[in-house]
Amino acid sequence: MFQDTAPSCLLVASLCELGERLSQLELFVAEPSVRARAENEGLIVALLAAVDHLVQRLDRQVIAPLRKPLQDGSLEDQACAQALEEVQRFALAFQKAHQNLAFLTGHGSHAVTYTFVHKLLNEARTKALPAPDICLGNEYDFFRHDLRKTLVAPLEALGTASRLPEWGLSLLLPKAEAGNPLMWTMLAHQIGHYIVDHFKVAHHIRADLPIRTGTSPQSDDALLRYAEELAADLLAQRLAGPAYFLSLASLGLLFRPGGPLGLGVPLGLRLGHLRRHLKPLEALDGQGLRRTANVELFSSLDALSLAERLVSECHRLSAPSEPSGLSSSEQDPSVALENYDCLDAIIARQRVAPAAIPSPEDFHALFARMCSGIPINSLCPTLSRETIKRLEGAATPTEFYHLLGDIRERPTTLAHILLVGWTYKLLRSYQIFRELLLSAATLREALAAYAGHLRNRQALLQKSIETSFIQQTYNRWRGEAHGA
Amino acid sequence: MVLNETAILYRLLVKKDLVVTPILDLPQQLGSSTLDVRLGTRFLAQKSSSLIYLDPLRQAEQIEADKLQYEVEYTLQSTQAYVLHPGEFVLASTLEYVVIPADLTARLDGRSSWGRAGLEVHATAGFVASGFEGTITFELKNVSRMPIPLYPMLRVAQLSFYEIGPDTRLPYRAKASSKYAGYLAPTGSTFYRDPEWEIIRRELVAQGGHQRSERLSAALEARPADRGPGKSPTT
Repeated sequence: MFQDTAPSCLLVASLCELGERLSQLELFVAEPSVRARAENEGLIVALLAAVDHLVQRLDRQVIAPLRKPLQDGSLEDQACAQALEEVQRFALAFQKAHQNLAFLTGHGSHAVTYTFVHKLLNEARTKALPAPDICLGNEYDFFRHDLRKTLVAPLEALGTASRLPEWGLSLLLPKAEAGNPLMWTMLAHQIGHYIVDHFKVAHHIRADLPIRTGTSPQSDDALLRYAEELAADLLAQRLAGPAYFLSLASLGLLFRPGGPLGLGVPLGLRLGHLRRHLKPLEALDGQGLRRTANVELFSSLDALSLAERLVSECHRLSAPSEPSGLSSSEQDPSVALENYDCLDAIIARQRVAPAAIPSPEDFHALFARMCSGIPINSLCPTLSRETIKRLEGAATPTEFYHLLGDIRERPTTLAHILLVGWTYKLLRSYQIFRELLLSAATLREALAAYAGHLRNRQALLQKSIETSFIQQTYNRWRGEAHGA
Repeated sequence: MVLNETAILYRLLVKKDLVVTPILDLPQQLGSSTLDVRLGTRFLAQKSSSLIYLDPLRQAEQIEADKLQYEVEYTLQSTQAYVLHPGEFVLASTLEYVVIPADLTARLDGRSSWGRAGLEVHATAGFVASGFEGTITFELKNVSRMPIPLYPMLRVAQLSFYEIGPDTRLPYRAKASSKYAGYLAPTGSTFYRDPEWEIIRRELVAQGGHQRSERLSAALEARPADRGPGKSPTT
């Protein structure tokens, strides 16, 4: 077992994030609804060749020279820093390849994403929000929200103060993530922006932010802009739970701080701000969890601390000269966390019920199920042997049903499913990726083997989301249905 | 011996080696020796296409590419219907994920209410082997004269469980030839992966008949499709 932030662990995590995205792009173009269209054939062949080329170059340039130090954990900081820089360059190339998905016809399968968003809004009890549309986009970017703005912009540029009719909320999901529920949490961020825009949150932020006279207009502007982004982050975390922090952190393992993703708000600032609102998950740690997950790669089992440490170490190594968002707060008030304290009260006033964090017992039970390949749609009740004996002795069906009582599975919330899913990814998937990477002759071979694990994990989470949603729907109306 | 209601409960909720999840409504679903199961959200239908038939003598990868031309998958929301028209056939799967332990087998049957409405839930494969894990695939067919709207969560079938004495040494997952374990959605047939096809293929090649078969396929594919556009493949 290595230290969690050992360079070899860090590089494995970073390569796994990139490998997953490359595999997801391949899985998307292999979707029957996309692949079966004759007009897509040429582009699919070209895209797959481009991905293959990326994989081969990554193998030759990054992995092959470091195979041995990766194996024995002797990777040095400097070599790791160089490798991370290469990985980030390949991540940008992946983003460019992703843009070509715009030319493919066929929609890909994202029906479960609708269920995801409905479940998210139902659980947050946010009746004031419209049911969103979800569009699959070619930009690998989660931060453009509310597509109406895209349509309004050119009309406004013509000088017509045009207003498009209200038609609800349209969310954008990158095509490569259409099958990956772990990154759908980022849709919660877009919903967060909608709430900021439509429920006067932005107005309250402007009124309450500590804008000091004497500072530069640029920094005041940044303060406002950052505050709106951080408010959307807080709302997303309220909606989706700690999984939102983890999905944002996963982007930090792949893309430079202040890189092309998002609106230029330093990722370190965003993660630091979110982390202040998350209690540590140490209660979930323990030998039982280690045995269940068969974890060897990391010493810590607290997914939040693990992700935080990986990202900050990644940024320290890959961009030592760039501001992390926390270091230069004296010169720039926009990167001082305490300047955003007013957001807590503003967000707390919004009608968004905070996502529940599972108890340690529930978390362990769900995690064990996920490791056994069983969907984590619910928590199962337990009967005692004595109850079974009494049931066997029941003289009439009425007595039997009376003894049976109201035994029900408890459907899991999205926050439960996603936190367990993310923890599974951090603890198990990274480790499986590492084993495959080191045992396979090439990265291509490792990715081919890893694709099976990736598909299973995604299918398991999708099934869990769908089934728990149906359970919640059934429970909502069960009483009425039985009385009818 | 078939398990009665308390034996089913014991295996599900005390011993927990039998897994059927979710059980949305235990009193509704539990019978004297059965447990009702529900329709899931995924359907795998067949559509008409220029493909005349599936040639099992081709390589499995080629057949799978052909299948893309006539299979179409639907994922429904809980309030959406898949309308099964008279005579039509579609694959679907249970909402429930099922794990059958090594000392049990299970049998899938339709529920009487749906049988009376003309819905068949399986064509021939109602047996669930010990050691099976996954969602169980329904082979749904409407044998009535009226279209049947099918929604996720409807209780269309029931499982009964049988003890098979000592645990099997060949649970389904471990069986060398098992093809459908662990799936979470309806799974189309992969009959062409049965080893018998490879034997026939090799024997054909040995007899020089494979070339004849290829020529026949080419000739058939060159013919204009018999079916007009929009005509259902199953009517």
